[in-house]
Amino acid sequence: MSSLLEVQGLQAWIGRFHILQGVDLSVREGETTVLLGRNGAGKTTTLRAIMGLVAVRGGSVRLGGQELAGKRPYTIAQLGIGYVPEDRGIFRFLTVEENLRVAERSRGALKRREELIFGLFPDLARFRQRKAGYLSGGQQQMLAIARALVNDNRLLLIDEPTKGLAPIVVQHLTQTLAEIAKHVTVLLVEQNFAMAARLGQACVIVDDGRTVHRGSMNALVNDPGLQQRYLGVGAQQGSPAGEGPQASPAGGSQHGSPAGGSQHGSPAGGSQHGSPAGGRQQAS
Amino acid sequence: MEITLPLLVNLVLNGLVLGTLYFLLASGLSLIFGVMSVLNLAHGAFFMWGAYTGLAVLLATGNFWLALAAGAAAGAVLGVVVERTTVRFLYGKHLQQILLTLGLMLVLGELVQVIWGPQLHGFPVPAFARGTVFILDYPFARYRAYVLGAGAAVLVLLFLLLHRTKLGLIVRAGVENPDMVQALGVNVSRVFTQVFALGAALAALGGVLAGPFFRTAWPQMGNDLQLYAFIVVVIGGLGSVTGAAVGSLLVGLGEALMGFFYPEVAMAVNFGLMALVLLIRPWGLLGSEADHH
Repeated sequence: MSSLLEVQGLQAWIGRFHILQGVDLSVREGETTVLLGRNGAGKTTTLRAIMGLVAVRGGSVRLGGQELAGKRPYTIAQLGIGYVPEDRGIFRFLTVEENLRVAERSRGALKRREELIFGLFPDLARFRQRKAGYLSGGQQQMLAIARALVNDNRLLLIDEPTKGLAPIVVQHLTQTLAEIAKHVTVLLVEQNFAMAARLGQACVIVDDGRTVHRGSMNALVNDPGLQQRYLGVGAQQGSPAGEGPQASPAGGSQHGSPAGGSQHGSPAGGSQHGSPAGGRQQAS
Repeated sequence: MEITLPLLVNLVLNGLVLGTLYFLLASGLSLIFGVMSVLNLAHGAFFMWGAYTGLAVLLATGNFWLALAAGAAAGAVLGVVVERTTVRFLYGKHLQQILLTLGLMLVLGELVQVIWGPQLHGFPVPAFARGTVFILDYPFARYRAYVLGAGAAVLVLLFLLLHRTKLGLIVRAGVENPDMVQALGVNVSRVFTQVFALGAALAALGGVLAGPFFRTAWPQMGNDLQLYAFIVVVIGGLGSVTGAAVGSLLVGLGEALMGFFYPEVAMAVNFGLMALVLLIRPWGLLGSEADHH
């Protein structure tokens, strides 16, 4: 399988801070690659830099061989990248349908993908004319993902889709993402290690703005030492070596640390509860 | 003087006429701020240039409709030129934007005097709109009725543009989250130019309509009205056209009613209203709270 996205030596600043100091990663066509790392490691900034929302100050970002660094975000999007940001970036005062229509890059794009989108997310079909601000957190996340599916994108960048969602919603979302990942290449940032393990084929770990590990998700799942070194205690206890990438996160997510405290979830919290595939341990 | 219903109706109508002029300035100001977060201090200059262009065309052709079209077109062209050659290089740089648009305001204000001189120019009322109509037996300038009609038409057209077209959809999304709009593949650079041109055209159209209302065009007319437009935008909420409409009506009505009954405090009431809104709803009556932060 060839590599669709190739990032080398990526450097970026936010204000005076040198956030990315050399991120290398590649995303193979058809696969889901998970970007892992502690909070503040530079995962979100990496996605924003690929998207052109943060200036690339060094290194290269190539999509199918074409250099993206220095291009405007809309040009990058037009080359076939769908972006689902950490804060979801939905337009609260627009209806669900209008949110989807903003993304249309060609006339009738939504119409052509309607069946697919509303098949994956029946809730969105039901609330089609409702203002997005009135949707639940999970539905807003679905809308953000659906918006990236309006166009025939080659690559999706999805930033922490489970952030702040209740375990039952996370479970549902994981299944939907697994379905989506069958059809499109994905670069996923995910703190929920169980979900990352279920969806990812390859993984990249960043720490302090640098890539520190690249490999298969399977190998990471089976290497508690590696998890401990780069991801902290939670992940180690959170995913017993026996559980492969295909393992269901269901059990864990229901017992995991409370969804409310999820996003940058207390690493201790999850592991103390000793949940098997922890809903929300500090996987990154 | 006895306060009668016809008098009140008349004052309200006059307030609505003023509100229409404010709305034409404030709606563009609000959209430009909402979509590109540029506080355009030169917005009044577009209004004034619209008035002078309209006057020149009216005097040359005698056709007021042509004057309206020419004024609005001049505003749009000026808007495109200003956005493409200056403003676009300073997106996100607020201090520089203020310096730039303040400078543009001065330059455009001086330029009009180079061409037309510093004096007042009489702005005739078009023949078809002269005279008075009687509303509840109270005389009301016919031209003002036309201004009201024009204001209503612009409001409807603007509403249709915002809610029935792709550009309008993008503008409404852009007011909420411009970064996301471009991450979805929308060429925001082009949209910014279009919105800036639209705002400038609306202001310039307001300038032409204001000419026969004041019966004059003068170099400072834009700046004089711009102050009210800023009050309107603060009251209504930055980025909200509906807010601009509501704010314009409030300020227009306040101006007309207070100007009649308590002329010495009329301006103070407008500022008071603005201060009150800032205290209670700093994001404006129809602005969005999230954008305020």
